[in-house]
Amino acid sequence: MSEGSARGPAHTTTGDLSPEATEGSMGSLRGLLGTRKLLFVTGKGGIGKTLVSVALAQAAAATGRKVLLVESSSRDQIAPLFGLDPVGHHETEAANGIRCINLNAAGNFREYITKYLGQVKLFETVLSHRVVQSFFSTIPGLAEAMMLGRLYYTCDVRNADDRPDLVICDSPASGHFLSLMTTPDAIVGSGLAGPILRDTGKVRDFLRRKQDVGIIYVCTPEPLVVSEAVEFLPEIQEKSPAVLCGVIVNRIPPLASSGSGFGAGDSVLVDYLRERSAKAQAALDQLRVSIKKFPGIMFMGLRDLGFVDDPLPADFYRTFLTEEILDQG
Amino acid sequence: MSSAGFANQSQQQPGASEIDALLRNKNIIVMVGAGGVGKTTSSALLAIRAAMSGRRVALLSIDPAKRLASALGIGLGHEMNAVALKNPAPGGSLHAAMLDQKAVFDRMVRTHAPSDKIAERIMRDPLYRSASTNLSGPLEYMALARLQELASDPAFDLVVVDTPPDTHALDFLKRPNVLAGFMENRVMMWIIKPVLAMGKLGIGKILGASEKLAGGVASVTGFGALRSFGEFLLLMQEVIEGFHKTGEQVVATLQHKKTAFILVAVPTRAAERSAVFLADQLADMDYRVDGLVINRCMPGTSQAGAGGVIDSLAPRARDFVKVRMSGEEKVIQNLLKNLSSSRKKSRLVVKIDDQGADFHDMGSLTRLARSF
Repeated sequence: MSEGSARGPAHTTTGDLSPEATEGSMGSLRGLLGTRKLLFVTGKGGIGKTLVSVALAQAAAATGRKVLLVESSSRDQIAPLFGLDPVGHHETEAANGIRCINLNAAGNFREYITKYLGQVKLFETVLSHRVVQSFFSTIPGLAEAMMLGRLYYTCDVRNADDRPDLVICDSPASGHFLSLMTTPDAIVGSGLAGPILRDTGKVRDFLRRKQDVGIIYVCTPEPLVVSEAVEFLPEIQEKSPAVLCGVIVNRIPPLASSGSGFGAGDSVLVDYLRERSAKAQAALDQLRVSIKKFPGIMFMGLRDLGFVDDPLPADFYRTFLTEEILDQG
Repeated sequence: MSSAGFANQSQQQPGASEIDALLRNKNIIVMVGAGGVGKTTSSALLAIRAAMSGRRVALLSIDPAKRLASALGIGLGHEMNAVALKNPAPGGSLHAAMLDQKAVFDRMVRTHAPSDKIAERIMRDPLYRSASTNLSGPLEYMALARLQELASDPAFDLVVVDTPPDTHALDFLKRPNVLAGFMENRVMMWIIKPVLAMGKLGIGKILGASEKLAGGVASVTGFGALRSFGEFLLLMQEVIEGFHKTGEQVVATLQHKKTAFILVAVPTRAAERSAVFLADQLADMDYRVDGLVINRCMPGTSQAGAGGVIDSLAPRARDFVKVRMSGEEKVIQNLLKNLSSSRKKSRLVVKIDDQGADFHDMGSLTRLARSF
């Protein structure tokens, strides 16, 4: 593995998103957080998407933007990181400048019919019926379309005074994310008709707006995770209406090449640290090559903190969003 | 390398003899945990450990990890394949099946559809194709049905099964019988409820007699989708009735005292929250949680002289190791506290070292299986 391929010392710490920290990937992270309306955060399960999403929200809120953190999970993952009880399908103040919500399909459907289509009566008399609800819950793709529609509504349609500047969506893991993002195309080509077809077209157009919407892919520097990333990134680029705008490598362990000595001793622990370092270097090298196919995207690394306790401190992003590696495509 | 496999006492953790007793005495071990905590791998490790110690083990995995399948030297699919073990204790053997979602669904339709022709029609249906690749419900159900078959198969002493990577797998373990469970959960939501509803009301009623209802639905989706979906559900009705017959004994099997549930987690707060939630759920259902597997632990930290090794590390590495170790300890203590308050004292904790997902063959899996 070539140590020279890591550009700059791995310990470069820009500290935070202060104005001076505009070089390298931190600069483009600032750009993304400062200009986008909607950022999807996705990646393989269990690699820290939620933590990254929350840290990004903190960083954006620190610059004065109003942020809404969105997830759609069976149980709230985001609220506990702010020390909150589960918030469910209710926008709740989580911190200064940050609100959060855990969207569910039934709530999205209700709001689409009542708030967006304005059909309160239709909903109350017909569509809230249990049988009809269970019917709707069975239509493939409908829940996904409603989810994307809800994001579009929040970012672009809602009254400006009630609208967040930035929505960060802690999205499903890679495979499910891809089916989520391909839903608009599937619906446009399906047997559905009426308002859903029309509105799905609008949602798709919104997702295609590069200056407003982007995908941040999170991975870890492990051979398997990176292999999945290398396969997945071109697939997103090809199939998703929203573009890939960043790759974040989370949990970069202490690297041998950066002078993080593991001592001379021969022990299980040191062997482990050496091996993880070597694997991380190799994985990063592989990723660097593959990332070149996506010119202009943000590419940044975050160190493995070992363990993160919750609730998170309000300035957690300052310790977390410090660069491990700098490399721009 | 001794043929019995696990003779080296000095390498073993305090929990080792308890886990071996569990592997020796139980007939079924169900592994539960959130997604991404290494549940499938842990299941394989326990199965290998039990087989090496002389039991005839069936491993049933429903989260098909191609990598694990290839490390075990088997293919994905419904059938039990023999896994080659190196020098197991006398009598020990391991068979494994990794259920694949689409295959499971197809097989179920073929088994239960009233005729081959209807089976073919169902499988050609675009809605079916979408359902069979996107729905985990039937897979979960099938895993339990398969578990039932294996549990009564005299060829096996122990069945190790991993559950879906989410909490809703447990939803249908809650009910006194599987049929009733189906009525309330996602699987039900997906398939059965509309069928029953339409069967009772008559699909014609929804489409025609109740114009208000039909008009309301159609104004949003269009009639085409509604009609084709209704037809699909009617086709599926027979298949669904087939589910019930095979499912009714599963809960009794799972509540049996020879069945153990093992909670799998990793040392993070998010995984801890999931595990506590799962433990509560299981306790509510009268399923016994017998132990805890913590994956991705920092290796070598409990070895003699580890303190000196840690102190000699450069600051970044040293901090990393120390923070990680204290995190592990916090998570394990919290989990133990929660487990023992929800049930009789459960002290069985197995820590599995972080291998950076490094296993590629039976040799490395077996080494890992004997290390805890």
